[in-house]
Amino acid sequence: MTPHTAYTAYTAYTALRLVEVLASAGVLLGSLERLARPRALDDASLASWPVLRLRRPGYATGVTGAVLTPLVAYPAVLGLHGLRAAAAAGCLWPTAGPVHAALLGLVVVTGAVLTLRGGQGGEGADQLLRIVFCALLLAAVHPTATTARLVLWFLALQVCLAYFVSGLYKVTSRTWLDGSALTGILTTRAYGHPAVAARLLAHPAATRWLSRAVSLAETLFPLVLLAPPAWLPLFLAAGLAFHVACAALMGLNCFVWAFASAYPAVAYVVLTT
Amino acid sequence: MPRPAMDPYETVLAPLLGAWLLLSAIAQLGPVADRLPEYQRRYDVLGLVPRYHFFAPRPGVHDYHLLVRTRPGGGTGAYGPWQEIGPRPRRRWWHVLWNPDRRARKQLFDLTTALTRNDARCEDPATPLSLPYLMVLQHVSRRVPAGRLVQFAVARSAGYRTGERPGLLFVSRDHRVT
Repeated sequence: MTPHTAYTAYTAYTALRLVEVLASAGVLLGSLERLARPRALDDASLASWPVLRLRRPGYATGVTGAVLTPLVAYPAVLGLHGLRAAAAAGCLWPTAGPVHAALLGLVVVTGAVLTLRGGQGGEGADQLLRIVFCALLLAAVHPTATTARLVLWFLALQVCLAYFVSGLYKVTSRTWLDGSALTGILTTRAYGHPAVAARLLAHPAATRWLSRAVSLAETLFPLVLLAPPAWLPLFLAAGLAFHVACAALMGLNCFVWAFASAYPAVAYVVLTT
Repeated sequence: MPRPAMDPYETVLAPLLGAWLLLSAIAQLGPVADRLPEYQRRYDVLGLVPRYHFFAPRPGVHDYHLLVRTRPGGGTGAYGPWQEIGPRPRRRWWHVLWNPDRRARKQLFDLTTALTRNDARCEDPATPLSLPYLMVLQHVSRRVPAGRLVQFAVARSAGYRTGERPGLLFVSRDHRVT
């Protein structure tokens, strides 16, 4: 296979760097949002560590609990989010060698400890960003062209899997096909928008076709890997527009950064095969 | 130009990432393979195996509300009216960039859906010992003066679909706040 000649300047290192910048912005944003609502993590909150630690015997009485508690109890958990935010901010600037690996490692380890704590209203964007940073760390501890390529392929396939699965479960769902799922979500106060809700309720036929289009577009996203490279901007622009719309209408702002962070990997795979 | 042979690290990394992808693909069968989510909860403690079926196949189409009422601790006297506690969502233009309150709503959503899944009438003696129940109970108890009896409930509403009536999904037992 020969690289697509128009894009040979787009190296694996450039692509990994773009992944890292976008993912770091996502982690920084998520951590700052948590720090902006510190009481959502205190002992009287719905994420109280004294209660959360009861969910596994090892957390309540074992060594794991003894190690975790000083790190994740309130207010120490805020320090952990602060450390994660600082490490993600550090990743926005180009570094190399052990410093680079250490910053990525800090993001991975703080993310792992916070996942062990649980109960923080985690969402799919956090999940994807965890995977992206683990993959970036695996590339950084042994920075060769082959490692970079392997990690970029991995991330491109992960994001294609994400869209395909999300779309497949929608195109096979009766409520997504008839539009009631889309209407249902966008008419809640948690994930909806009053002006959009009114329009969806007023135009059920248009809503049905919009729902089918969104479902089908998600399912077909992996075709980006098979389509001619000239189609790449179309796929990525459609994906980005979808996430920005979800952020504006549903408040899912971190998904923009999480999914966009994998786009440079998709671009690399498309442009170099 | 042929690519150089892989060094030992790359030789390990390639199957590792392949296995990770395979596990990720298998985990997507959660909605159609009953035991997979349970395995995932038990063994994937670091959350590295993703579940990508966002809002599908059956998305939540309601808002959930946490309600509290109290009465004097002696057991005499009636309960006061239900009062809602917790965040009241309202979409703002800046949520496209900054939306810290969605985490608290997701916490409430996760706990209330777990609470209302199996024992809506709170008849099972194990229910008050479950983690979602204990979490909500300690949360509401902190807002009530010591000595009073407290009861909480989970209700759901249809958001902007004003034609649908709200409903009560779960009512807790009485608890004395100490």
